[in-house]
Amino acid sequence: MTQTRLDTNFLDYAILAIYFIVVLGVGFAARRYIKTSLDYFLSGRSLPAWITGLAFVSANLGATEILGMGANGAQYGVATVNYYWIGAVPAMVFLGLVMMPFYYGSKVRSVPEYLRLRFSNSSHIFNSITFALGTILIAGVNLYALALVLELLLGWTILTGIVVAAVIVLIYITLGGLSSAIYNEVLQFFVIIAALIPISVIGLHALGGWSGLSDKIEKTKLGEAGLHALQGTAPGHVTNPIGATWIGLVFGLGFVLSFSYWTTNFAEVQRALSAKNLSAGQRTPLIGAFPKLFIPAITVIPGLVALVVVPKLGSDTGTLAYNNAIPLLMNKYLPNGMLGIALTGLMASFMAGVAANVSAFNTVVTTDIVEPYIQRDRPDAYYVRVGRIVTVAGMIVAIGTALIASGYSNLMNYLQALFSIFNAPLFATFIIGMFWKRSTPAAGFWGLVAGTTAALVTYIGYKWAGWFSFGSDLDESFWGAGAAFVIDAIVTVAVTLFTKPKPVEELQGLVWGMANVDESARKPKWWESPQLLGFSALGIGAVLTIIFW
Amino acid sequence: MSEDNRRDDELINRTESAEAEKGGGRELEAANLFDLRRIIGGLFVLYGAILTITGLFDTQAEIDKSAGVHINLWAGIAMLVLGGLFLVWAFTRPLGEQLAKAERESEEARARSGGDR
Repeated sequence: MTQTRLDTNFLDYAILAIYFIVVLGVGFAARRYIKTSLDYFLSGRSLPAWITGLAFVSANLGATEILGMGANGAQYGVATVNYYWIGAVPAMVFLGLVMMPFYYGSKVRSVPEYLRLRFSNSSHIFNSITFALGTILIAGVNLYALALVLELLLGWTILTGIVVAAVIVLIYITLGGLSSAIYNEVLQFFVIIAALIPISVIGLHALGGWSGLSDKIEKTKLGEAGLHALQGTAPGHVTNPIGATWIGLVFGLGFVLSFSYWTTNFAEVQRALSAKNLSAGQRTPLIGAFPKLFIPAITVIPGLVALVVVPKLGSDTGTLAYNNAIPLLMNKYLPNGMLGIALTGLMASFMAGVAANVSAFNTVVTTDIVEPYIQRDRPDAYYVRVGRIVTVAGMIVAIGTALIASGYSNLMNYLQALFSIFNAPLFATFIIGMFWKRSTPAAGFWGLVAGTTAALVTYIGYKWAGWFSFGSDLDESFWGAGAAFVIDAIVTVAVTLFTKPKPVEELQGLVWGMANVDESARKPKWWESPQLLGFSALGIGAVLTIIFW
Repeated sequence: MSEDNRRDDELINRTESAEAEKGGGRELEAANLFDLRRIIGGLFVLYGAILTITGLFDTQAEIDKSAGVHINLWAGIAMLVLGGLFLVWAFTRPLGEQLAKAERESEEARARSGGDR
């Protein structure tokens, strides 16, 4: 079974159509409540933690993630879990427990706005522009990936796919702003899960459960090594399928890449900022961490199953690329009906990714570029209108950046390269700014500029100029991110030593030891304690890592 | 789909009247959007019903396709249950009441912290 074109019928399309109608209905209903710009950009800071928490994880559950992790499951085996238990959960817990009090407590509306308060306008402008640019490039990747899948599964042309998806996302975000993006993300979360669980269950059933699957994996090209998370990662004696040492995994993946993505990517942090109080804001990434712990069960297992049941998976020819692991299984196992749910889940996850990027983009362009620097002191309604116009413009530009993405054969690697340029330097600046009161406004700006330049030079030097060579594209993005982080940190510290710090009283609510206290909050129940949630998530992650060692 | 719209409208009216009664602040008003639990519940009950009915009429060939797991039926039932749970949650603890309660609690807390000073 190597056919990827799905055997869809009327029923499957009806299920997909119902979903679109509900999604658009959410947009129209949300529109009735948009009265101020805070409503539009931060849902009026009113959402309960379970909603923002699921939206937080769902914003990351784009289809590049799902198809990519399925592909990694088939290519690297169980070691893919490192992307979750080492590469995501610790950073999410850190965001919730350590960084959220400053983000939420200082009442900023966006990640760049924190830089304006903590450092200066120059670092604010620099970061707002690079963020807007990075986000719109990433939105393009998601759009293009969606179009690829639609072509593969349904035979739609690439352009039809891009335009249909863009129009639907555009309608519901333009109407309802962040509220409808977040509500739809939560809805998407459940549909995506409902789509993936049956594939794992059927796959495991067909191969005789986990033990049957492991026996068969040992006979594939992955072999025994495909069944372990961290075995064979000792430096000098690397035998695991990813080909990385534990040092690379823990510091590269687990620290630099993951912390910079989860803690400074506004598309994620925005979900937590829209929570109704500090406690809910803190719990947003922590509640998100629990589903994240178990998502590998429904992405990695299908990848492993596909490796066993699809002969020659991973060959370069035609439809057998690793990226098609999950679509191939859908076609092999799912009857009409369930197939419609799975198709809807994939479409939903693509729209989740695009919507997260676009809603973060319109917030940053409106509240961080237009409002402070271009059109000040206009009535609030003016900014809501600007937000809507920016959404439309952003979507049109994203269609353009989708065409840039179409020039890359491996989208996951292109995405990682973008993260290394746009996110990694930011994390160094944030962590120093939050924990070192002395670090100066000038240092914030020059650190960011130097870090971003370092990642950019690494990328250009590898990709076009031929100054550096790395093992693979993925290896380049790891080194690029590392260089950005280190150089940003060195420049920030060096410039601080020669420039004048901000007066300490201006740093209230922004730095470690001076967090604002939320006085209006009621006393949280014991099960709402962020510490309890955070350490439980870390504990479960550690236990799971040891089980699959 | 007119049914969905009607339900949404009804929800909106209900939350709006709940707002009017307590005259809550801007934040509470925005929180009232409309209850996501009912939307998730409604969608999953509908999907569950469609799959369960499809599942009941599945041919043996379709069951064999999914390695002998009667997936439409089982997934349909599971989705019905999930949707049902969301609806029960939404109807036993309506949004309007919860919001009023949350507001009372935060006002009490504000009064308390004010008194401490």
